[in-house]
Amino acid sequence: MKSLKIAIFTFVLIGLSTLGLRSIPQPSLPLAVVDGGTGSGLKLGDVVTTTPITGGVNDIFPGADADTLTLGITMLGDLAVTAPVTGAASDVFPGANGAKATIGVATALTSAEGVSELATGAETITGTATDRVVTPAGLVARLTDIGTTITDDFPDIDAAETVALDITGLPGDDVQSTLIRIYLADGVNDPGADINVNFRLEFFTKDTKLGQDRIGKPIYFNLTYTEVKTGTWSAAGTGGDLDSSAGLLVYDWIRLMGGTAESVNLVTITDADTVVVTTLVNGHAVDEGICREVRIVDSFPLSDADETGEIHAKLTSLADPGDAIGITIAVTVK
Amino acid sequence: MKKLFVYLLTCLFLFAPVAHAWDGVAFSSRAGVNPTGLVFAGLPLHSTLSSIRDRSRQDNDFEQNTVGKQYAFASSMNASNPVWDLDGSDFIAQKTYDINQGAMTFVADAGAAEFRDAGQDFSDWETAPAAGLASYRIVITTNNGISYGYMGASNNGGTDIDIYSDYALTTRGWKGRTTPQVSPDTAASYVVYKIIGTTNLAGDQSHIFLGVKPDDGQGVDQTFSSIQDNSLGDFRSMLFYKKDDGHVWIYLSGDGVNTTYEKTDAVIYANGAQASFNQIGFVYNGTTCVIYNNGSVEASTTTGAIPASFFDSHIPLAIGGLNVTSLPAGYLNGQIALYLIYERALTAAEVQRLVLQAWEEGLVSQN
Repeated sequence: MKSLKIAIFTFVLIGLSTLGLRSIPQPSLPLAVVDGGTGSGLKLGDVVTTTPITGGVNDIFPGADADTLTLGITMLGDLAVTAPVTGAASDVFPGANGAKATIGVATALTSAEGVSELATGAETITGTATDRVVTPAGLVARLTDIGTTITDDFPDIDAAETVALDITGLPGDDVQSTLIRIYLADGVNDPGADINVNFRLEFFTKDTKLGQDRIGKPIYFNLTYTEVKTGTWSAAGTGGDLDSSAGLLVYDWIRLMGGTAESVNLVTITDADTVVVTTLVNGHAVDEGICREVRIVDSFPLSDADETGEIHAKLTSLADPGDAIGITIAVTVK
Repeated sequence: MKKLFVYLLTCLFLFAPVAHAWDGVAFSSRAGVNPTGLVFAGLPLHSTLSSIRDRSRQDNDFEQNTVGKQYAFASSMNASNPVWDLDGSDFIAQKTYDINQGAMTFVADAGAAEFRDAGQDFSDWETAPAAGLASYRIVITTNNGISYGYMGASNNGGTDIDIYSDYALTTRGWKGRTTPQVSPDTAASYVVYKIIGTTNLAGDQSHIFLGVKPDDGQGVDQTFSSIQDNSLGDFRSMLFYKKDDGHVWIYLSGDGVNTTYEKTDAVIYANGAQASFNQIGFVYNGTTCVIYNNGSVEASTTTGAIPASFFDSHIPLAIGGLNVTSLPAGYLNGQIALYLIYERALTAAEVQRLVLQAWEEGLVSQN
């Protein structure tokens, strides 16, 4: 009985189908594709957004059962602002999964925008490169490299007297001074007692050092020597007590002669035996020397008419300093 | 006279043989000092001391004085050296205006001190109390002595001037003879002069000569500078001078009487002609008086007690002599290059650097 019901139901369906859809032509499969064909036919919906675009045997995109359809995609979004520009396997920039793309960018010129390499400190000091960009570090390197510095010592002075010095090793015979520093020699020639003596410094064009060959006018200054008094001036500290601040003025450079010598600025004269200085790098023990460091910042020519690459100098102490003292001169020239 | 002074100064500036290879060099960077508190720069001539010149107080109106004569100090400037040449018969003093115009009376302005010159216009010298410290002082000779005071506001068409006993113009009154506004005092004459600094050189101060060269190191007493009237016993303030034995002395008076002095232990000036200038000066701080010679402290001895302040004398500052009312005296016979007064006690290092600057700038040679 059940089989009979099924047979009847099937017969009805076939009958209905024959009666209702008789006007729809039955296509022959597979469909014939005609180049340049026109007219209406079966329409497709949107392309799916997942990959691959494929389907079953009789679908429009039958997958492995037919030739692969290639879609040309030309629309891209912005490049990522982070580097590298990369993505997943099937992205436009597939990262490690694809060949690296190279973006060509123009070199910066004085007449055109572009990218440029950073200059090293050495290149900044040399100052010849035209295709490098200066960095803050390079600028500091250049500013601190103000020329060639030559250091020498005058013969010891132990009276009101004049001593002479020919400073050798200059880069030429016609140099320009940028900085001259004068101070009592580090660690040696400790005069013992405090001193405060006026000096006259003169430069000459010839080693004969005659007045007629003097460069400019005499330079006068005082050098004063004193010592750390009762407590060590500690590293990273700002000074302390000293035997006497007489002879010193605020903003003076002072030279800590003992231990690892260094130069600092005098910030405050607290009283007759206490001062504040800029931060020390090294410690300086009791009784180690402190002297004024004279800095001559005027720029003037130091020509050597002898053509021996020397600076000819005379130093005169205008009073007896007592014990013998050694005096260092550091000349920076260009 | 001002035009003549400017003309002479210009001529000397143009023709003075002052030339340095480094005239453009910054003002003594190695010495590096330009102390504050400068209230007077007696500057004969120099082309490069711009930092001092700019801060000088030339409007203190100094002039050269001889007995019975007054004329601008520029007339005796030495064209070949930037110095004042003093020949032992004249000196330089704060300019005083001695110009009685009409009948003079002491006015009791509701009991407050006031002075009237019926023919005068005091408005040129007035300072309104609200404007700050007085700029001028008036010194009046009466039939009963000297009365003086600080000049405040003028009124009554300029013929009257309010008189104060203090520089800050807070208290009306007179100094010297203090009751002139009440009869029987009668004004005979008066002078006006400009005040130096904020205390008329009564407080801490430093006097630096860069430098001075007497023609004779000893022989007679010769004054460097003074606020002193030897004809009166109680109007003395300061006297800085070379003693006839070559020592340097400073009288310091807190009460108008010379009882305290500081004297160098050593002879500073040898007998006879001097071969070089000395940078000589002193620093007073209310407790001590330190004498400097060529930038170094000179050992000295105090006689008497150092006053806490100088007597506020009515005598104007004089350079190279004693500005004695009745008869000038104590003349310097020699040369002065630059005289600086600071209304502050300079430190030893500041004095030393000033001297170094003077040498370096070629203000005066060392010889």
